[in-house]
Amino acid sequence: MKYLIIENGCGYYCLDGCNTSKKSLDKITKEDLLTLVELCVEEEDFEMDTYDSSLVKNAAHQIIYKNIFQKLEDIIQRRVSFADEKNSLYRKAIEKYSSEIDEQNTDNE
Amino acid sequence: MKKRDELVPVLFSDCRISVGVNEWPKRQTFIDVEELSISSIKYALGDSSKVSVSPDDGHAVFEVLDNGLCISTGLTVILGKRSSGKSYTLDCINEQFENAKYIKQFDLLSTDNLSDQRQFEQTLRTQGDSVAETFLAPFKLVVEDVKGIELFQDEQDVEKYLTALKKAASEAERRDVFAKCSLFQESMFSLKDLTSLEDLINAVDILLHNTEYRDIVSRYLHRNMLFKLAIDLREHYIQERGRILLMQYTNDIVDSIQRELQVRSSNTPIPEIDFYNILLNREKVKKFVDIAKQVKKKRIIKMNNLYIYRIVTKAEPFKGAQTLQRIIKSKMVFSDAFSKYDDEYEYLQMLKKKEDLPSSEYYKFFAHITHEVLNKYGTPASGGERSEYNLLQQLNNASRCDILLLDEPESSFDNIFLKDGVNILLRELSQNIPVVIATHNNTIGASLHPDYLIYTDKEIKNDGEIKYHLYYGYPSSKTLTDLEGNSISSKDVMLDCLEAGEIAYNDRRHSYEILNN
Repeated sequence: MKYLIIENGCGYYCLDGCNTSKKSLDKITKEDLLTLVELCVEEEDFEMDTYDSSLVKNAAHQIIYKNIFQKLEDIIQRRVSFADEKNSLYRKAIEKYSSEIDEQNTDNE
Repeated sequence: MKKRDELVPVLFSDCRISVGVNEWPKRQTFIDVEELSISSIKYALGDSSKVSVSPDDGHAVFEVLDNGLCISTGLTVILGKRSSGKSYTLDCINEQFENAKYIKQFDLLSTDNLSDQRQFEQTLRTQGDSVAETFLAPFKLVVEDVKGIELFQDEQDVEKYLTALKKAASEAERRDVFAKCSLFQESMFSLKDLTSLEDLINAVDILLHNTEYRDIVSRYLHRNMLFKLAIDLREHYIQERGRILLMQYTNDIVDSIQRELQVRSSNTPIPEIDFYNILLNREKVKKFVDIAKQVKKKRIIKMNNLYIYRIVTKAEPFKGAQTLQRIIKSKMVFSDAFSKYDDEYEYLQMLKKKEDLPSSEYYKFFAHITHEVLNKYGTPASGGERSEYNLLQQLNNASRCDILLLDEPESSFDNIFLKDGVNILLRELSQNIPVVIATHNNTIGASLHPDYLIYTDKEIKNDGEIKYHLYYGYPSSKTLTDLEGNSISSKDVMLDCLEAGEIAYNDRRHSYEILNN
């Protein structure tokens, strides 16, 4: 599913992966940008049109597309480390406090 | 011989003593008395702690004060009327020892009034602190990590980044020579955190080096393979570290060039932004909220027994802003923060706003840890029971000290308790450290069967001058002597102090006999 699209020399983004709801990149808000970032780390099939200065004619779009594309590429490459880090976050604390409650619940039963 | 309640076993030998007998039987019985008289032997044989089969058992008497006063290495009782110098004598003995446990009169007393209750709770809290700390330790680490996260700031950073990006885009046509350089808006290399790889290497090392469970590990993982894995991971680590160092170096160069370009250019530079970190921060906050909810749940952390009492340490949610105040003992008001108590991340932000609250204390404000003493019926200890608990607690700690001094423990308790519980404890303690008790309670005094006796007396002379006397000796002896050679009858001492005189004693005995009939 494509989330960053180059079409007719302009850059577009969409939040649900389908072409029909795409929006122009110069209109992107910070909420939308954060959503894109989250999708890029969670979605296995997150795709983007590779940045090519010859394809993006609009100079303004060039700057925005290139920058955002690079940032998202970076995240995609670090997807696995992110998953690892996320899963090991505070593991000791989670195990300690949830297991003690479970033990007490089984004792009370 | 070890059983205190039973009669002392006595074996009569068939050795006939007469003048000229030179050989003595090998096995002897030793008794703890000062003078050799029928009455002192009778006294000693009545208490199994004063009889032993070796001269090394039993107690010795040693000088404890410069004036020559002696006490026993076992149990010494100081008797005397009011203001005769009992407490003063204890004070003097206390000064001779670096590590004395001195329980003064009324130290242990706890009543049912509110301030005594609070005081007791405070003492319990101090004693139970280490239990609370152990329980909260993982949570403390989580709070340490999360307290630096400002989600709002992260959003602001994204806003700033996007605004600058759009502005730069709108200036695209008007880019000057500086802004046209690729490095002008180049982003830095993001530097990977190698902690998970380091953890993995350590885990493999532990598998390799553990000897106790090596057999079990070897059943599934060949040692050669483990070695190869350790080496492979390390080589990988070196490679990645190398790359990171190169990227760091490159970032420095890019950064300095970028600054120069941005200073000279009139175009808007695009600030750096680390989306990876922003995402991770959000995950951290999510997990922090889950953990904080778990920590607050009602549960029993630990239960300890101290004789018939149970000390229960519990965790539960805080019930109001006032309980928060007691955690840090300050005048800070917590009602504003407490209103967000159920929104854990916001609650933490409110705590952060309190300038006088050290950040190292935040973790204490989520789960309320309380300690309670329950009696044998499972209900919270009453005033009198708390006094008893205090004493048991103190005596429990006393065995680590050099000497135990107790000043009139009867002031804090009623009679029955003293006979059952404390006497046994004090006798046990006196086996290991000297115990000195000042009392005028007959339950304690007489039934303790002290190893040594001290009697304090205040003599007011004819000219009005006050002289203090200190008589001491074995309870089995007929007399006690002071440092100047004066002596008094020990029976008079016992009767006067403990029974309020012979007349009162006989009266009481008479009353008890009537009740019996």
